[in-house]
Amino acid sequence: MSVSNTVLRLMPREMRMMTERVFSLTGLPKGFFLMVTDMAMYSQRLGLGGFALLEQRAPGLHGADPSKVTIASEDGGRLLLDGGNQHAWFVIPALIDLLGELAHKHGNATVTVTNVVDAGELRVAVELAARSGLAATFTAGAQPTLSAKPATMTGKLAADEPLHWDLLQNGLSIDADLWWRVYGLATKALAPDSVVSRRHAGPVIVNDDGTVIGRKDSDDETDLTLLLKPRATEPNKESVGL
Amino acid sequence: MRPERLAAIQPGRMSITRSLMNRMVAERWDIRKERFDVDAAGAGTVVYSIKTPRQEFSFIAFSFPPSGKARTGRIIGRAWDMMGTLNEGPATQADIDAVRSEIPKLYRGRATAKSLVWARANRSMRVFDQTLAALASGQQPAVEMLAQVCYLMRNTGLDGNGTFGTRSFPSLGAGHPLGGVLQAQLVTAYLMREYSCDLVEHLASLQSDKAVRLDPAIRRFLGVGNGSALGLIFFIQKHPRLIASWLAAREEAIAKASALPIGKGDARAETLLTLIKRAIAFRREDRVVYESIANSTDIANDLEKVAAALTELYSTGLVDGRGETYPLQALARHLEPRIKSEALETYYSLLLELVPETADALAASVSGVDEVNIVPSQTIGELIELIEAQYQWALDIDMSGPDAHKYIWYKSETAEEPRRGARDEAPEALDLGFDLCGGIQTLLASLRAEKDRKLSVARFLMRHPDDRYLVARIQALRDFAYHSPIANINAENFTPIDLVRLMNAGLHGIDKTRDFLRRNLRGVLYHGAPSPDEIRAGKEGVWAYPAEPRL
Repeated sequence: MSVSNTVLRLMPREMRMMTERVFSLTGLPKGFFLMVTDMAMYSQRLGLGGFALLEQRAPGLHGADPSKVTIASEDGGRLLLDGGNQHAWFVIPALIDLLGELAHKHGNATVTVTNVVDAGELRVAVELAARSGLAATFTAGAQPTLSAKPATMTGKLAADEPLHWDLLQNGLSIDADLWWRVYGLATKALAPDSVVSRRHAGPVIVNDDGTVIGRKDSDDETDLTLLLKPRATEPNKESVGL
Repeated sequence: MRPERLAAIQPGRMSITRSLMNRMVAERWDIRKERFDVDAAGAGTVVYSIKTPRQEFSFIAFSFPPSGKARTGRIIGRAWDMMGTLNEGPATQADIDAVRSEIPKLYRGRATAKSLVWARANRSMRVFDQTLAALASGQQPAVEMLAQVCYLMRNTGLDGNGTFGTRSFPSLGAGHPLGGVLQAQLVTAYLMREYSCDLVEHLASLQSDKAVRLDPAIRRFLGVGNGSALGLIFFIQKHPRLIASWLAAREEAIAKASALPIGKGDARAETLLTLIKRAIAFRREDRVVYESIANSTDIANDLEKVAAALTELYSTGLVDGRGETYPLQALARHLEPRIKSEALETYYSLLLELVPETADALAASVSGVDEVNIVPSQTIGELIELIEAQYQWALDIDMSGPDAHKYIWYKSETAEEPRRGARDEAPEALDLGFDLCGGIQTLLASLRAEKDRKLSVARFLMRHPDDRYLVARIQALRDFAYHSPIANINAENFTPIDLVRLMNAGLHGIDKTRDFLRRNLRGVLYHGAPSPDEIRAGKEGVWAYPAEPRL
């Protein structure tokens, strides 16, 4: 069994993590971006913009403000949602909530969305709505519309959320170059390393003068130069050689 | 759910390594070394086969000569003495070639679709080398030396559940032999243990014709080391249902054991007393040095009080001179103010041995999906009531003082190492810590500021999108009792090691967890666990708390 170098098999854990990191760089509050980590993965699986779109849109997502999504009008189970010129991925959480609320109250719900970036991505909401117990449909066009009603849940993921189950089973095949670019982008969400930062973990702390704080029986034969000069000693962290 | 109390939980029958090993023995898993091509320098390839009643697995590992350069137990290390993978199915040459090509790349490598776990381990150099020298000279290693750490190699990474392209654990399902919580990782740790012993014996045989193998008693005594730290705090944050599920299952099993009608001369009291005495002996022999954790001598002294109380129960049927409807529960109540939490938790963990079927069934039921969803039609009035009913502890914590936000949790660019430092020392770091206390207080203030208590959560969150995750978490966990430690993790007075101990000792079943700087633990997995021969033979019985071998 070989592993392709041009197309990578990615599993949900990594796809969610990289999406979360990219979104965390936009200035969105943590309490929001933690709830939209499936967007790029589902989009990719559905043949929509996916991770290429994530890469393309990332710079423009700075300053995103999902609180700009508002209800323009409402009539029973029908509602017009103003997306506030936000990206579809950031409109979808409110969209699914409203579908759920209206379906709970009226038996079914229809929400039309205006003023949204990448409106075709609203299709992702159909799959994510299943997680909230909704059977939804999407109609594309000038006025993209989602309709939903309560779904019968079995308690089995494969039946209730088939796309989620498929992702867990099989992951996704993604162009390697694209993935590593997204990976590189996401890495910017991690803290730059430094001697001081390296004191924020580990069984011992090495002071500037070389003295060590902590017991030395940690049994890991730590190369203390790692803690004194992290940059200089790490030219090649990705290979240990076989 | 106070961290210091969670920290006291001891390894027991419902710890994952213990419950997994019990199942391996009951099902007589067949673990065999299939290939061991390692040269005298320590370089080479090994393959193990693991046959379960339902499925075969393989452990493919590469051995490397130890290097002192860039060596550390921390994740930032770049020198490993072993790297390997646990795969589904028997190992083929193509599998071996694939992992040989990919695993050295680590973060840039890709596991095959068969791969469950990628693993790394380092030798405990002093102990490994002294053991090797002893065996090569035809002698057994000194038990006094071995017992200082109780292992030859230490786990430095068990990555699975989608990391590097490994299989997603939720997709394995309950019918999979390793479908239970963390079981794929922890069976890999067992293979590390076997590998470490096989390696030292193999290298000794290459060094000398006089070489001997490890005495079976020593080999059984040795486990595999483990180092854990701040990353487990993130794990607890991310998996609240799982934590709640395990703690609730354990509490239920303890409650059922505590309710047993134990009377004078009851064999179950005698069994429990025997186990307590075994734990006392284990603690008395413990050579590990602890920093802030209760030391073993003190725990042993307290366990003597437990033993005395059990002796009274066995001899007279009484607890502290009184007849009780539920004597085992009364005994715990009597002892609680008189002994350390670790001793009391040892008692509780050993109680589980009186209800093995119940404990095993409850352990097997532990699960918990990670996703949380909004319940949009709930009114904010209902949400306010829910928060006031379940999170008063978070509302009571003072978040206004300078120390309340002193620390930041983040990950480093290098190796994504979880770190916790003073906020002013990591100005560029994004805060990854989940501030439950601060979040609850802010959320409740926002909810109370709304005039219309019948407003739906859906509409509230449109104006407050930053509260989305917290609201979903609160709603998702409303029926769980034990999901969140009562703590402000950003505060000066929070001790990270407490929750690392919960994970290591309680969930993982790691013995002799010794602490460093209130944030790192070292310990030993599978301490005294059966050998592959014993597993194959179905040798049942309590293997925990092993005595030091006497040769």
